[in-house]
Amino acid sequence: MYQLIRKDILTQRKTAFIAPLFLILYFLTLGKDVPQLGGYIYCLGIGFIAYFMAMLSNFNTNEGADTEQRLLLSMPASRRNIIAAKFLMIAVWWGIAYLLSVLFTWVSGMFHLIGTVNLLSAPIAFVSLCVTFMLASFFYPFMYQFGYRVASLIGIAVFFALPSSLGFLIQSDFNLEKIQFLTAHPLSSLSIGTLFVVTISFCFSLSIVKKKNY
Amino acid sequence: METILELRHVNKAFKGFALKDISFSLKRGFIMGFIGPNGAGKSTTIRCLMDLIHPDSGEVWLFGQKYTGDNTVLKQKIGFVYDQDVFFQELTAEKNKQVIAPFYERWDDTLFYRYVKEFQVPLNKKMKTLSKGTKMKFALAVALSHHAELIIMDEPTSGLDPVFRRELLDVLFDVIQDENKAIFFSTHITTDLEKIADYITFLLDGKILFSKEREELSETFRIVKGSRSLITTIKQADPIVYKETSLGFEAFMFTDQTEKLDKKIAFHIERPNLEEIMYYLVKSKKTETAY
Repeated sequence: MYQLIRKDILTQRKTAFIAPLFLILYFLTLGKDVPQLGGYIYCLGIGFIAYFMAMLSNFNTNEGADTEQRLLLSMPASRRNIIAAKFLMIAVWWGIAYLLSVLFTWVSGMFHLIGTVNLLSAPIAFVSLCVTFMLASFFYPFMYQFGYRVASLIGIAVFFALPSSLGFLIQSDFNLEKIQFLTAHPLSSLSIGTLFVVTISFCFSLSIVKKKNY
Repeated sequence: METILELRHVNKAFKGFALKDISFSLKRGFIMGFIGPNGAGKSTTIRCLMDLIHPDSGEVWLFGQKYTGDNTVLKQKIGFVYDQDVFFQELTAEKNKQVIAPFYERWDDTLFYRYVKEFQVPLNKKMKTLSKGTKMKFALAVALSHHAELIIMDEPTSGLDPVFRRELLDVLFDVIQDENKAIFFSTHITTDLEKIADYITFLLDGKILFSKEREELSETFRIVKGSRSLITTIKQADPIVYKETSLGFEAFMFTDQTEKLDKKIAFHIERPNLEEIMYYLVKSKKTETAY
């Protein structure tokens, strides 16, 4: 497992590590209004950057994920461990994205380029981690089944669909009392939902990779 | 001597192509050449061996154990070379080594750098910038640097110049001096096999035509040549392949068939090389017969 994790870090494109700068560029356009954005945007931003890093870690061979699978499966690595490492790496990419985002916003704040933003908060960290896992969980089964082009399109579609469906739900006449537990305990609900999606995604990905011919 | 590799009645069907009842084995201390025309199923068989493809039926046994890809202990003992770019193209050869080496418990850096120097692989260049031959050399260096007991190679000599091909054969010959090891490799270049292979397995249209010792194989067939006046006689001997030439005829036959030919008649009988055997057998399409 360690070797697979190490492999993902070593083979990651360098451009992935500057991805958090996209968040800063967005913040720069808003300038002093950034603190008014609210945690919701920060979480989505960090979540998407971490997802982008996770996604990019699969594009390191010329011919896509199947070629890499061929190499890995020929080496001492099992199909289960390959998938497990990919899912574990989601957390690692989130960690890197989160720390870099914190660092970049802190530096930008120091130079008064943007308003003061404190990304170092447990709820922001937790929610952005869940967002990252949610997005990557949609990505991986599709990548293993159809390749990364289809999967990345679906991943981006999910990124836009998640917040807009949430917004739609809030603005609609939907009786929120029906989902009282969700609104009363948002973090618990999010963690249960994420765990559920990740479990399903892991099982699907493993099943696809176990059956697939490379 | 222990059997290191064995396929037992392996079948795998794809749309328009199938491996049918593939069975052969290789013992430690030997080199097996895997030959066949394009599209015969050589790479598919190798992918079955490596568990990259799941056979529909049949079994792959490696090191005396039924092999599944999840058996990472067995994978430690396998070195592989593919005819495709499987390495990380955006990384340098050195970085690729850094990624791959930790997977192997018995990785030997000294050995790796010795091979890299010997094969003249530039470690500081990105894989995507290397020529096909240099990529193949790098793959070979990797395959030989973790003390693998079984080396599986898919067309390792394709894309290599004759000088390096010869050097490669020397390296393989050195490797096989350790009787605990075995080498299985597919190739189109049958002259390479004539130099080093102990066994030849011939695949045609997804079926094993034969799997024999090279020496035994060269005793199995003969090419008979003669003038036009002998055409009727040779046809009666029922050759595997018969063709008329400007000077007379050429017939490809079993050795025991040639022994029945009238000794008084001036036939010219030659021992065919591997390329000729492959050529005539493909031509004959007598694939239903196991030789």
